[in-house]
Amino acid sequence: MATKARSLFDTAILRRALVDSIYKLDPRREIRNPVMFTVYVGSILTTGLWILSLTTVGEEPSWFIFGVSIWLWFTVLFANFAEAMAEGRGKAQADSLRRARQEVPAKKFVRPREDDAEAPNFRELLLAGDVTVTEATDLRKGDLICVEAGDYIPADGEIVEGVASVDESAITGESAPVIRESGGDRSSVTGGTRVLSDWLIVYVTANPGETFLDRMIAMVEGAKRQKTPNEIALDILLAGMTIIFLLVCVTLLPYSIFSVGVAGQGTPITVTVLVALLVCLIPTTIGALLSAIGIAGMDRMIQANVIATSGRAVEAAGDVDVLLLDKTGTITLGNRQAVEFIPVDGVAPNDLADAAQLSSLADETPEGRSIVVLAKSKYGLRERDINQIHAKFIPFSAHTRISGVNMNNRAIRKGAADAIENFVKQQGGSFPSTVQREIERIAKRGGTPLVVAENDKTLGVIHLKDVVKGGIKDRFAQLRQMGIRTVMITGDNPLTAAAIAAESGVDDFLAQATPETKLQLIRKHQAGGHLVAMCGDGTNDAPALAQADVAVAMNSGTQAAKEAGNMVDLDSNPTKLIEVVEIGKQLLMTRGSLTTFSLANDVSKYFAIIPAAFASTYPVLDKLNIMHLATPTSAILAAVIFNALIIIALIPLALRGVKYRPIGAAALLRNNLWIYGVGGLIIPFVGIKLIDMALVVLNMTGA
Amino acid sequence: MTTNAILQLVIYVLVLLALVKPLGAFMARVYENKSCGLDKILGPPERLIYRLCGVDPTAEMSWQHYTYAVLAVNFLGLIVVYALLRVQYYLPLNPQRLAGTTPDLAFNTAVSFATNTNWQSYGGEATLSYLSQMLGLAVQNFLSAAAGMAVLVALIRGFVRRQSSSIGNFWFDFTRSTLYILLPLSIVLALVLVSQGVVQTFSPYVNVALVQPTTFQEPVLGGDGNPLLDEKGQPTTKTSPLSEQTIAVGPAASQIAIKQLGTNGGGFFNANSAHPLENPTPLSNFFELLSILVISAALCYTFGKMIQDTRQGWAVLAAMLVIFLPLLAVCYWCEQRGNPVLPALGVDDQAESAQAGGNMEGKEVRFGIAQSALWATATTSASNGSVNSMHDSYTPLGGLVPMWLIQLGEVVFGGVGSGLYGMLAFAIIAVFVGGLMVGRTPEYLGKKIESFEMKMAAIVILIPPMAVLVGTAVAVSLPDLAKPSIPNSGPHGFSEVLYALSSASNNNGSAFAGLNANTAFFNTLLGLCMLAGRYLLKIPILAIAGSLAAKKYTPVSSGTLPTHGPLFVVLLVGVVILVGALTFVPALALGPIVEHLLMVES
Amino acid sequence: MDGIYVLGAAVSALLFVYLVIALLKPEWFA
Repeated sequence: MATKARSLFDTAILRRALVDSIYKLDPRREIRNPVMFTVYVGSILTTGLWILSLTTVGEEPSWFIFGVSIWLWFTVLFANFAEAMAEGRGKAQADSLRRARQEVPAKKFVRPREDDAEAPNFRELLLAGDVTVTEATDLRKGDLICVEAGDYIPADGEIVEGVASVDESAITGESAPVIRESGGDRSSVTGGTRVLSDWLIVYVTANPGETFLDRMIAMVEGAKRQKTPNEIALDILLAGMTIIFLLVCVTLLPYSIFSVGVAGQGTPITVTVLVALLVCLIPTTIGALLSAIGIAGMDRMIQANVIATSGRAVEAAGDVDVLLLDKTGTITLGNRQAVEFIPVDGVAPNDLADAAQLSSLADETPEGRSIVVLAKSKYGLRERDINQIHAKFIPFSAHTRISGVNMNNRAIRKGAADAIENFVKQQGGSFPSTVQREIERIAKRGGTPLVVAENDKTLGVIHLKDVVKGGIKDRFAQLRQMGIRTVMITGDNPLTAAAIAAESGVDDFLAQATPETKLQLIRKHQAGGHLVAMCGDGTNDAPALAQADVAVAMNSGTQAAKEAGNMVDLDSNPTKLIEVVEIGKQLLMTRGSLTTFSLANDVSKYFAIIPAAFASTYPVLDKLNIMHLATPTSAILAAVIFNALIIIALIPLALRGVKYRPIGAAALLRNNLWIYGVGGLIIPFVGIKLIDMALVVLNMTGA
Repeated sequence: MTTNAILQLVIYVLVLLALVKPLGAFMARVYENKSCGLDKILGPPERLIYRLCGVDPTAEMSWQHYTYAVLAVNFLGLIVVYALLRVQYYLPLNPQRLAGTTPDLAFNTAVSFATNTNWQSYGGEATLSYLSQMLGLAVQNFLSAAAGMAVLVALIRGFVRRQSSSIGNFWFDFTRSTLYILLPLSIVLALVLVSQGVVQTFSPYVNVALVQPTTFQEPVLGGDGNPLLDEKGQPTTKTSPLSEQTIAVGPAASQIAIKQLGTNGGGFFNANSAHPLENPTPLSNFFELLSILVISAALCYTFGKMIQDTRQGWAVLAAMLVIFLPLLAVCYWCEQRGNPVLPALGVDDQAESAQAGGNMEGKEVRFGIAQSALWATATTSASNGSVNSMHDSYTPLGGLVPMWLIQLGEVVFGGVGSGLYGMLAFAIIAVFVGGLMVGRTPEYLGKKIESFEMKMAAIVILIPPMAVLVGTAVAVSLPDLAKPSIPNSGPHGFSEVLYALSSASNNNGSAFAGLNANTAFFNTLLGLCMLAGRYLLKIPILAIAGSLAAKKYTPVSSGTLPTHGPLFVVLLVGVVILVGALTFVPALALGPIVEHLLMVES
Repeated sequence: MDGIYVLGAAVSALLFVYLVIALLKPEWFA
């Protein structure tokens, strides 16, 4: 993000949320939430009763109806406030993103004529000045534009030609510039970012209003937020509970009238008390926080620098049970490292180390550096300056697949076994069979063998090892605890793959993976009822990404990959998948826990309200007043006030989410049942009693 | 608690549990069309039935098709019973020449039997001919029970099948439920009962001379059949001698067997199983009691067997027992303690070798308090509704237990089939909340619980309380129509109405019999509640079955909420209790709870 | 007093209808 992660209760957000919670009183907004709409209607009804009680004789003392009414309004406002708080952080971020989407001029190519048979050389067109300058908003999909150093990129696109360093901090928050170039997996550019050096010719891939930045703004703002399937299912349950309680309260009136008749004393229950009882019984706690929980879940994704295209994707993340992980960069460090020199019989280890080091002096790849370092640390060979020793570096070429140095009359080469074999044989030497054995041994242990030769003589083998990331084994064990299988995807041969799989602790692996085999693997798991998550960045990952249930595309990846996925990781960090899954689970857990809490709360409210409601008809029911609340009036007010305040008290939990720990489903359920189920039974008894005591102190008991 | 009573209760529960596995496994084989030991004998008649009815038992049905079949069968039954009751006077097997019933009573009784409620607005021996009992009621006893079991089997198939558009064949499930399960068990039980002295005869009622002739006050009837009124508006009476007694008899044993096994509960005689010719001995009592719960309990095992994970079935059964046993203890304890005011007045109501002690009002001395409390708890936890004691005479809290068990939705054992499918609807709700709490989209038995299932399960949970609450509200707000039926003043009158509506809406059929329910108003109101409580539940249950059958199977992992352990049992019990308590506490507070407090107070 | 009961009954009847729709057609309020 362009902005620093804001704290949950930033004062600016707080102020804005307070204003928004008033705006949200719009009935068209309130009607979307069945539970809170019921409270809303109750508030209006009691307000009406209060006004009525001012003019004529009311059913209850005016101040009491007012008290109930005002706390019902607070209940509604608190719910609105929770939602506004959840949206607040996103809105602040959206504002700063909007600043990035300022009007910028676009240099658009005039299209080459249809009859131009030759493929146009864009560079020449550009130099010929065959561009028109228009507004970014006039660009359409399919246009070709040119962006030069210092320009803002006006729209999302795919680089057709050119290499440039781009400042993407407006989107990713990462200030170091990144390289973008045509072809390969780093060919997409995002509107709103800035080219720092060189130039690019870009094929526009999104119309105005549909760009990545637009989508991102919509997402963080929650403007287009639709209820997710699970949220709808929960809404059904809550609506069902609300219907039951509505019936309980409505039918209580005739019961009460009947009871007054048979008991021959007292007055029937009043509508005000019935509304108070109804609001206390319906699951207002979860109803008020439900939408905030969903928004906060998306927001936590954004804090993790992951943009989900829908809330549905975040929810699905919690259900993932198969994780496809690329080996390189996720399971192993990106680079292989030399760990061992294995000389051929008759060659001194030092000679092999010396030759290996010489051949790698100019090799700037991480593998090359690691060879130099190993020779130094293990054999005490100091690094030499390639120019001082008059050596000529032979770079790696895709054709020969070997590299090395020529110095004096020594030609030292290193490379893959078959390439070196060719080299040695060309020089008239032979390739010893012991080398072949060593090569196999290394491959079996998950390493990569590099053979070193000098002129016609094979010196030995360098063992390059994939280094498994520290701590990754524990991470996989955790995932297993969460019920998630990990599958490693690698282009390596099965032998190497198996060795790395064993070392890193993944459950399964797919070796010699191709886009097709990846897609097949995903389909196979899905057919078995699993939900599959994967991440990818290349265009050839796109089909698999489109097929996966949760597909995280790397922001550095191609446009195709980003469109196929349902999330984009701005940090382009493949390990992020694990975090994504945790955020999804947290979201669901918070919903479930607060639902349980909300329902468990009801027990205490009965103990507060029932004796109070029928105090005049059946005074003996006061035996149920186990909290010893002062008066019927204070009991009802205390219950209503508690019901409103608990919403405020739980906003931080709703926004942060219930903590997820990978301890298995049974243990999680047990913990949450204790905390939110049993806790939900007990806490309101304490809370209502305390509020009642406060009302007594304030002399608001009606006695 | 006396040792004797504890022994009675423990033996009952142990015998019941011992029967669960063998009977459950047998039923699973019946529904899975595997050999079950009776195929040789029952195979030919089964095939004959299919051929005569022209049905193909292998044709798969969608859930909608299945629903039509269920409703058609029940509707047909309803019409037949209604017609029978109206014209029974003209039909054979009516030695007492009993007249046809009123339309509202016929409607109420027909609905009552088609819905497996067996609410007795009718007065058994005083109202119904042998033909009406046998062809009307007894047949419906079988069919309504079989329909409930069939719907359960369809729901189980919903869990078992994967990506399937059908949930089995109703005619197959329905026929086999009757032929292989209900019929053989009924025959065995009927013979046992006959051996204990239950009557089984077509002969007319028997007139016997009274050992001790007496007199009674007989109302003087005018020309229009109504009693003549004196100047104060009271009916005039004359003293008449009484030297003869009519003892009602009839083909009772055969009907009592299925009334118990099929959780029907509609007695052959008005006094139901308190009647000495319906339930003569402690042994007959034990078998009748056992047969109330045995099929419902065993179906839990059938469920586990059919989904190939018997632990799931045991978990559901455990949840039922966790609710049942404490409530049984409470009911027994309240009755044995009796009225706490009496000892203070010097009345000895302690249990001793010479007396049962406790509250014996409305209870049969040949059964005592333990067997009465056990029956009351069993018959209301299952939606049976037969009684061997009068619930209306229980202590306030003792009577609250049966009433609340009914109000829990008849899911603790419940009706055959219907109890378990109701419980599974609660399980869906429990799994939904529990599943969220472990961070997964909820799934039960490998099937994802999504908004459609939630919607249907919510309807299943919602309908019975809705009918109870609204029905009671209607009854107590129309004093002109309801008041004459309520003899008791004070909160007990309210309890009686609440009990009646609870019983009808949840298809139980037992009553706080102080209420005179045989009026046009109550017959109609209760009839409508029974219909709602049965069919508005069956349809969503079948919809769930259809939706689940179409889903993929989600494999179980350590991230899945386990639904076979004690934790899930606690969760399920919690949901059932919480929904039941939260819905009915205010109403109960105005009925039995305040009755109890007033009693203690006085 | 009766007027208030009538008002309360009318409001709760409308609320009931709304809630039933919210239960059966939640997507209308999504």
